[in-house]
Amino acid sequence: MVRALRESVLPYVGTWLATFRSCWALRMEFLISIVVAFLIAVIMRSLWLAIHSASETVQTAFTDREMVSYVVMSQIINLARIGHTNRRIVYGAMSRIARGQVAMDLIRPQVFQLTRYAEWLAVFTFDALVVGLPLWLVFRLVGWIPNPASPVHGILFIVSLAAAWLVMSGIHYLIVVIAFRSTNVFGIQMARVALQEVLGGSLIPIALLPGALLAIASVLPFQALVFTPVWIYLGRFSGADLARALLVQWGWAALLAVAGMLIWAYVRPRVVVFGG
Amino acid sequence: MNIPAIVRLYLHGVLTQIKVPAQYRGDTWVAIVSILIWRGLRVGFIGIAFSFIADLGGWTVWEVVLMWANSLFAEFLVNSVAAFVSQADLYFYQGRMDYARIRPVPVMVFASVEQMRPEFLLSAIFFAIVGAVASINLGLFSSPLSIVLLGLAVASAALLWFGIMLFMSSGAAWLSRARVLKFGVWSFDEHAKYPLDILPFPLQVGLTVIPYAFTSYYPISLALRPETHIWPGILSLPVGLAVAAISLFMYGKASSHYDSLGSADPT
Repeated sequence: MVRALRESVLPYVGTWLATFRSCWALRMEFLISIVVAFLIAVIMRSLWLAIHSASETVQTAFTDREMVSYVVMSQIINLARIGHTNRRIVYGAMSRIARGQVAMDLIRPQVFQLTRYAEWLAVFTFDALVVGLPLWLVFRLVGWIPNPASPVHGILFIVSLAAAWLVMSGIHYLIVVIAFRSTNVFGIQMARVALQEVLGGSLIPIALLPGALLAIASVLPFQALVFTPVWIYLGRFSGADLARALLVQWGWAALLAVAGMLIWAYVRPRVVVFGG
Repeated sequence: MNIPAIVRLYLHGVLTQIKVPAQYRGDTWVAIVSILIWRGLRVGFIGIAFSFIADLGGWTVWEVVLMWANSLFAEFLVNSVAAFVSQADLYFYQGRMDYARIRPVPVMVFASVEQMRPEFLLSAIFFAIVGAVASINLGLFSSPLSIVLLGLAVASAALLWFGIMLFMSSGAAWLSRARVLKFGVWSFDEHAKYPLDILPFPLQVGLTVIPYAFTSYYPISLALRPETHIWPGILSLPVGLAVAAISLFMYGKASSHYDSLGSADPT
């Protein structure tokens, strides 16, 4: 039983390790991500401080310090960052499908979906360690972000971040699977980035979205990516709201994973590859 | 060099690049809707931000929209009609230059056709419309001076994007890391189009030196408020020409530096 479990898990650990090592080989990309994320955080901070100082509505919702904390934290954990994840992993998978090289993936004794998740987990871990953590330290030192609202909020922030990664992987996977049926997924991928930034909370706190957009955002999974973890970190969720937010996040993670499995089950028998 | 023949081949190639994906009707509509969402949300974000305030550091919503539209229209126009400038690294780094050099047109022309993406052309059209709407709302089409200054703003931004992208991608002839830097530049520039006045001074200096601010803030503030914002808006065109000239020099050096034992798979 244990041996069977180990043999079924080991290939994905291998995929995780191989992808993590490739991230290390391409660490320059992540270093540039640090610089870019830092500059975007500074710009967004200036923008929202200017808006905050001129708007009573925003002042009612946030103090200036809370506003800065939200904006900076949302850039630190921005899963829509145009970095390694989007380009090499998602586009790489889509390119293999478009060119027929996916045939090699299909003959491997690994589940296609789990292999993709293992790759994205490696990139996410690397991004969190090499981009997110140093940025958090820098912004914490300059006082732009506080510590988590409480130790419990800190732990639940990590739990929420794990769910955010699962939701992100679910969305990535759906886009990759669409590549089996569409010749042009570049636009879909970019629309996903824009939707994720506006409705996910990395450009604007969802609480400040106008009524119609707020209603749309609340029924889409993007809120689970940035808004929920940052809101938990800042201690804005507590009690039943906190439990509900985590439940919604993990619910989306499960739903997207199942949707990916079902779509794959539909697409897989129809895949015809003449060569790679 | 037979210029009319090159122009004819270029136009023929571009039309083919548009026609081929258009054969997939469903995908074409998906692409159009995706671009509307992608680009619409960018402009929509400015609208949301301005729903809380009357002005941003003294700039109205249409003025900020025009700054964005000017830079993004120029960027996508260059990326669609001269796509080579942002993709030169593929030719230097992956050895595709071998394949491009045997074509009966200059490398830049062939590669611009090969790399042309209809999505970018659609994005350029989108921002041309957004820019035109903003200009009408700001009354910029009512005075000849404003029209001339607006034209200069578009020309400056196009020259600057041509220069910035070609400079970055030509660097791949020496440094494979230049490709990485290119993506960094691309992901940052979308956020570097707000009025410079609201940013901290070091960032104002940085965006002037890089020189993103010359693609949006400086030339547009000159077109909007020539009486108070002459400098450095008036320098936008010379700066654009200088950056384009430097990048062409860099491209020439990269071309002569290029050496290869064979090409990569051009597909």
